[in-house]
Amino acid sequence: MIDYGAPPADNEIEVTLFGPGYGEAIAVHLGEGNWMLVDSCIDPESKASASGTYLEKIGVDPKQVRSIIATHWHDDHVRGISQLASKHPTAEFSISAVFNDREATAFLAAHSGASSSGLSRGAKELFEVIQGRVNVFAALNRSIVLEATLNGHQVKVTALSPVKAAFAQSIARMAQYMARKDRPINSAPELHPNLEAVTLHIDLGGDAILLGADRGRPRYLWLVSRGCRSMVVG
Amino acid sequence: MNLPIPTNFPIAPGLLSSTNPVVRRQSEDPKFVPVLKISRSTLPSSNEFLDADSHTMNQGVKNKFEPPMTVDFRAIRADSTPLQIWEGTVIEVDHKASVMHVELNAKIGQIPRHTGEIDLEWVTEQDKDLVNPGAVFYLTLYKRTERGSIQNSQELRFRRRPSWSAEQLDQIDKDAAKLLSKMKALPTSV
Repeated sequence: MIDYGAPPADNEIEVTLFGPGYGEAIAVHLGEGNWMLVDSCIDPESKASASGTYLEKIGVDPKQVRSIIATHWHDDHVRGISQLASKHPTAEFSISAVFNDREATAFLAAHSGASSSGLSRGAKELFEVIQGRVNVFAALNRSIVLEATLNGHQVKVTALSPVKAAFAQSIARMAQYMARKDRPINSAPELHPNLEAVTLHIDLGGDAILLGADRGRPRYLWLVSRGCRSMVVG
Repeated sequence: MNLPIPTNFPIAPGLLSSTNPVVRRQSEDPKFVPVLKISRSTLPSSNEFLDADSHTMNQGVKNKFEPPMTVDFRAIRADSTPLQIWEGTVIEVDHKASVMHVELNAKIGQIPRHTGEIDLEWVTEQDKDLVNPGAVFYLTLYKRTERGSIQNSQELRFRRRPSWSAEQLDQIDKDAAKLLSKMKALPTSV
């Protein structure tokens, strides 16, 4: 049993990484009890979303989660994210703007398991999130994912990717796995590089965090503190 | 660069050779398993594979190599023991280079998930029409003992899956429209 300790203080910025690799899921305390969750992986003990379990254990009210972002649909980054979305219904949910496209949503629908099972867990998770929500937000380069004044500072979360140039390439690659008449019901493997991924910049008013979303270097997390840059993970 | 192959793994040289592999990294992630190139050009001229323990090739017999993907019942018998089974998915087919890029997930054995290339000539005639992105196949390595010597063999078989029906395509179309109607743009910074 993991002892997660006490929740961060109101003026404490906390970044927690979960997962078997570099941190497939991230929980960020932005200040004054406001949280942002990035991606999801499964906690081996609770069998539920690791970041959701963490917040529950330290006593965070689900309403304190302001935003959930699925940076990309690879299986290892979205396991349990549909459950996380249901658990935090007031949080705004954002995914890559590549999915704000008819062909891309057809890709998710085809690989959702609704028509046949086991085609792609990642696509199934995103399909279930979108289906279960009134709205899902499309993030692309310069999208403002979250903006608030916390602890007297302006906090701003901005997406740095995907750029529009990546849209056509992502959709062209998904097109190989689209459902077509008389074509066999095939699987959709993870596409590399994940051009559609959402990279995030969190401006905390003086300090900043860059979350790399599994897109090469920086892979996951950099802290930028008053011009002095240091790599924390990745 | 080391491949994630256990040292006592009785492996067929040329299929997944740890001595002369064509290896490249998919990414900088040190946990990401290196890509293995599976190419007929790296196959031995003999169908005698590595000895299970010593990893030395038996050079004594020079038989013509039989591509293992043609199901060779002389090689794969009831007493063959599967050593490694991968479920593979075709990522891309490069007809020009006559290879398919694949993703392999270990069903049994110790080699985890990785990507690789397999020459198209390893695919049996009856499976050739199935080689498309997303197609699922099984790659199995077997071991059997014959007259005191251990021999390895492999098999690559594609799953023949049902086709999308008109009803399913209609449902996908409806689902896709519904999903798209829920997508909203975020404000952007200048």
